[in-house]
Amino acid sequence: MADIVLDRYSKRCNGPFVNIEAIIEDCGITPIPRRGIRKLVNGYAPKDPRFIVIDETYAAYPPMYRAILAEEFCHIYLEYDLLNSELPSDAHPHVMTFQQYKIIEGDAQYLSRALLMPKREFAKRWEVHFNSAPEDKRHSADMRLIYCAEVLENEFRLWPLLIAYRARDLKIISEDECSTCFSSRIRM
Amino acid sequence: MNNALSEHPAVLFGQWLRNKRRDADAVAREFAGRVDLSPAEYAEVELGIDVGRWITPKQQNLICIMLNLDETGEAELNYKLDQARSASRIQFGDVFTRDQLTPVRCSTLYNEQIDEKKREEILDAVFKPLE
Repeated sequence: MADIVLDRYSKRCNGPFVNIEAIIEDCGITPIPRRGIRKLVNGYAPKDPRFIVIDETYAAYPPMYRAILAEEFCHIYLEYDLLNSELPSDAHPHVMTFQQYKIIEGDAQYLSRALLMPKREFAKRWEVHFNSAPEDKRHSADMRLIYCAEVLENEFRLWPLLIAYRARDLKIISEDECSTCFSSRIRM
Repeated sequence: MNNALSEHPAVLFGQWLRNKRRDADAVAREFAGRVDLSPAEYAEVELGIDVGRWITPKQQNLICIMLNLDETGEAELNYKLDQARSASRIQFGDVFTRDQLTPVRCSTLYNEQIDEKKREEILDAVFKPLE
């Protein structure tokens, strides 16, 4: 699914950088940054799928702003038929069991990472940086992985934890490495 | 967006600005910074909300510079802006309904599921006028 979007909007990709904000606008979706919602939510897909609401504070840190927009865009992409159709008045697509919620969120987060960090580009770059890590980073496996994530953070313009999750998705690093080197050190 | 507002001069100005910005290949967040507005303020401008409040002569000049407008383009900007300023003021709640912006899928800090109370609190915050 990510490849379909990336192929269609290839003009919005420049090397490792995927201009997700431009892609979202190309799809006719308008981000609406607002103030004071961060204590409740980072961003959300509303009932009207032509909009995404996001806390404007994140605009000060584009790696996170872009990731939040991408995730909400993926919700709309994955559930477009549901969100765009005229549902019965007593239908509540936002009312879910915890298990349903986890699955839906997991799918959108996975797809957003695939969109922001295309598989081939990501794997190729990770390998290059892993093999060319400076001597002082090679002494410990942890330091080497963190080094790779930090270099890719600049190239993909995303925050390091997201880079680590993508490496885990692609089985470049293990679940344990992801947790030890990243998740337990950086709060989501 | 509220269809009754589709011909409102401020909405037409916002659409014109959005098209020009897109032609210049700039995303809204970056363009907001270039014209010295916050992303939330600039988003309101493109929606036709509070145009007279957000677009001061400073922003007007910056828009001309950032969009590289020639004399005709500048005249068009000034005309549309004058029309927008002299028309009735549009507020956020005129453009959107609470139902339309009700959260369906959310990104929260610790992946928490939100309840109805939080949903209402979010909507209150979203519809609160920018200060």
